[in-house]
Amino acid sequence: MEEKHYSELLSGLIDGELSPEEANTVNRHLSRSTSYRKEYESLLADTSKLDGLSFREPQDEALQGFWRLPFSGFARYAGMILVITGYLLFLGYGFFEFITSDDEDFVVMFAVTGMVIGMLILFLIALIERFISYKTDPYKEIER
Amino acid sequence: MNEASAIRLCLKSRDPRGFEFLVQQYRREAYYHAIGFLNDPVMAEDICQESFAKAYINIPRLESLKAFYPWFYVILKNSCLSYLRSKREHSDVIDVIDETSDPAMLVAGDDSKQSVWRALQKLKPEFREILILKHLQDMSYEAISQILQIPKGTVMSRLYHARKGFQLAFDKGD
Repeated sequence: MEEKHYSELLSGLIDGELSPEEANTVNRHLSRSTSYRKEYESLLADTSKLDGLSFREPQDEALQGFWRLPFSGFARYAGMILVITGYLLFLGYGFFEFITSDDEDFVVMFAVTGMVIGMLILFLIALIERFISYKTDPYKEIER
Repeated sequence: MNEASAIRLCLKSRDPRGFEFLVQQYRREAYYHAIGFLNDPVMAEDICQESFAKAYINIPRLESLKAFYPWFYVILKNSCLSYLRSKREHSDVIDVIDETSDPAMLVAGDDSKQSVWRALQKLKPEFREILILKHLQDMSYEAISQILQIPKGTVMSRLYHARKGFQLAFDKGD
């Protein structure tokens, strides 16, 4: 048997994972070779350092956070998209009616126009703010 | 419920109760394994959460599954390694503060235990992985061979080389 293979068997001996035949072979080699015995002792000493190691217990909240149904995230986004899309369609339809119809009630026309213009203003402000903050962000190269 | 019936629920009826049971069974183990790769408790929590979500999406596509954890472990390990790869790529571009966590936050025990942990962190991921499975998780060669999907002989040989690597790293650390 090669010396390299004997060395690898030392791990099995330390862990009690060798078959009786393999254990006999290794023990015989240990009784014959001083360098092999030294290697065994040093490996055993270092293995015992690892044996006492244990992780700190994680907090229960952390463990509970591992499982959230992906469905709930999907449902949230789907809900948001449906609400926004419906709102935009409603506004678009109102605006279209406002332009094409002559006999709409003035209050309805005024309300729809106000909502459309208000939405556009808010969207424009948000866009400008995002643009300014992107231009002046010193950390924009860093992936968040 | 047991593991076999939980897996059946996931595969046949896509019932989330089955998956919830599996998460509860293995979440602690998954967290420890993620810590072993990442050395960062916060990142380990995120990667565990992401890996369980990936597993939940993919489990109904399987035709059969004997044991959950060896299959899940591949997902978890790949997520950890891809995070480490992306972290390494970004560290070439920007100055990164050393984010290695304080060992006192991760491992129980005195300074000597923390030196052992620091030495472990210097090893190649495959060596660190097998030492954690053996010594911190107290797994048999059979269990390690199932999780890593390698023969028992390779477990013994890799453990030997990992321990030699640990010897060197620990001596250098001192």
